[in-house]
Amino acid sequence: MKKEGVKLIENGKRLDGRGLDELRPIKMEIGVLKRADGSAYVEWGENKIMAACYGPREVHPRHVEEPDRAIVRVRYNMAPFSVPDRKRPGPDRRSVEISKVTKEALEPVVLTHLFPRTVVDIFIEVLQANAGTRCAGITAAALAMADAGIPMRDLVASCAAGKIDGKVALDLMGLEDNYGEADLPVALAPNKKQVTLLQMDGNFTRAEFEEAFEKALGGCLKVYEMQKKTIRKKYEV
Amino acid sequence: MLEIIADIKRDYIKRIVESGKRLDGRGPDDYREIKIERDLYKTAEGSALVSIGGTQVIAGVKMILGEPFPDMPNQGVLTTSAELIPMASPTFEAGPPKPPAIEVARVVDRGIRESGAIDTEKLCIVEGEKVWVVFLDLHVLDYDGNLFDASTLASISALLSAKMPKLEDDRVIYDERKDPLPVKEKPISTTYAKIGGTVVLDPSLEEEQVLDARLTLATVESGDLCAMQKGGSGAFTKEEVLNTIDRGIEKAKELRKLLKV
Amino acid sequence: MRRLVIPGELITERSVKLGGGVIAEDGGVHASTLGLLDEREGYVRVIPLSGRYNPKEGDFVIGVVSEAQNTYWVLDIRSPYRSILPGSEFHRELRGNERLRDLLPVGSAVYARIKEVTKTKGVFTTLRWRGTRVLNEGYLLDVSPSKIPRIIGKKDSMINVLRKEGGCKIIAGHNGVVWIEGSPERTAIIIEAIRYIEENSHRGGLTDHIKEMITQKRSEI
Repeated sequence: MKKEGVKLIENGKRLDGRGLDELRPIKMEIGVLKRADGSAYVEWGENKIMAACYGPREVHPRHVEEPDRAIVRVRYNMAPFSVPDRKRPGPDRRSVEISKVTKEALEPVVLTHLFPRTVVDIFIEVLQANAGTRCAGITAAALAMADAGIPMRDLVASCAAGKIDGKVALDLMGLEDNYGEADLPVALAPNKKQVTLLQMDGNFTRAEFEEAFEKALGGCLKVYEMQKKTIRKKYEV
Repeated sequence: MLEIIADIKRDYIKRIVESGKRLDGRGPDDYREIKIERDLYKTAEGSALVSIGGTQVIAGVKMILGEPFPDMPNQGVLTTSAELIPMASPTFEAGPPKPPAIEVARVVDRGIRESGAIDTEKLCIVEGEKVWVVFLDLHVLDYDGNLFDASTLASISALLSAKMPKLEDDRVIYDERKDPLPVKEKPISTTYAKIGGTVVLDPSLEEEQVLDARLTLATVESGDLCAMQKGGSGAFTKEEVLNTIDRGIEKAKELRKLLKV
Repeated sequence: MRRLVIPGELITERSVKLGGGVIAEDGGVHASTLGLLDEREGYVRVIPLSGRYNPKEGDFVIGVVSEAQNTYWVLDIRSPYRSILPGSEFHRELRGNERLRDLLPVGSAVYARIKEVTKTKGVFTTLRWRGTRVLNEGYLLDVSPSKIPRIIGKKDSMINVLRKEGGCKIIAGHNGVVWIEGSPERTAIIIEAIRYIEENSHRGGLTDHIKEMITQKRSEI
């Protein structure tokens, strides 16, 4: 996180006109791919994310299967054209880490004991990135899993909060992420009230952290409402 | 991972195609519904999402500064790659590109290169030293048959939508794009599947799973051919090839109309 | 009209008997699958709207032979689990030098009964049961297993309409595979009708509508 002379808040408004507690505009769609068992597309500010879910299905390679439960695998991937400087195809350290924490954000809600010796595969493709792709990816993935009929004890919704110009703000966009002082992405299983993702970088005082944490969790609940609306719109008659 | 297709289903699809019909009610020279969306991603210099039936392919154009090839010192460079990501099909696996992905990328690349679609001389900045390198990346989201035509259509649409980034003292400014990428030709590919003794356009996934052989041809605006590729373990007769080419040249005229914005 | 429930959603805090698609946690019964709530006196379940086939003893499935070993076949039944068809469960004994792969080579399709599902999800099928058979001709249509009950209908009402009005032989496997045997024209009509049922499974009066639809289409052939 850099601290440079870019003013990110002016007259209480952020560069894109948002207040400190406002999310970027979010659009969600479910069931957008034919081949996948479940899928979802999420536009979150300037992020454009596709998620797909396959399974439960047989595990390949066989030796990674678990005798008493399903495993969950996540592949987070950025399309080469999703960032201004072309991303070379294939996994890098960043996407491997995000895949791992995303898996750990989603796995707690999956009723894995119902499908021993199988895998639930989740694929997240970032088509256009602008800060917050992991939150949008987790949110899309949870929708794709529900769409695939995966047995889950809850959905998972994700959102970040951060610090810009010394103030705690919800859902940083690209510029704010570049010039802000801290970022805190979290994911929440809303009915279970369980935090399943928590990462932070930058600088928060103890008090600022608590404020940001509250804000991010509040953001998750808003995202959760949108997820439910998206599902109802698709499936309700 | 391999998908097991029941023999009776295989036979059924063959029988219906040979009787001059198709499972989805199309005629032998009909495409499934084609949709083109252009310029979807701000991070790319150009982009397009093309769907043919259930198949969805994104093409993205990115440009960077680089060196020309020694034998073509005054020409920019085109690099085409395709990723058949595991999202798109239960049969696709993560990892380095496998032969089918490389084939798609190379066939698309040939169509664009050999047609002279991009005016590569206009991409030269300093002869022998500095040129634009154009990356054309194909991202297959949903595989429901006929990746070749969807990929070529997405590629040419993305190139047509591409704007060159600004160049300032050897720095590429991606936020400021203005001039269109110099595109002077529009290759169009049409793909046919031979199933039993019958050759049909735009094979669906089910048809691809039972086809004997496949023929892709790319044509330019004049109707001349610029790239071809035969695939599949079966074979065509000479007459079938010539007849298919005639049909493809005719069909490409129709398809080319879709490129007009 | 049944209520749509989303995984995690609280259904009731009363003590009830639990069917599929629900989970009792934190002092309440919650939906664990996206689906429609079926709530009766003292009993709740969620009827899923999607999802893979989970094999159950007594189900009838349409499978495709993916391996033919010396003593058993492996059937792909579009489930997370492959199923085993032991050689001894074929409807007749081997004769002379016959091997299993001569009886049912890879790619063969069968309509089989699930005889046993073990604790570790070993799935065993049989062809020694009334109605089971090898499918020698026809088309196999993949549908969502959750729609099979609607395609069959109450006491076979829907599938009988499809058969009678459509003039085809039809078998619907619980695993979401439908076998159709008939002329290409008739098969195409059945496919269209089944897709319609899939998309409109929640509607009332569907059987009559399908009857009309097929009659109309057949008169156009």
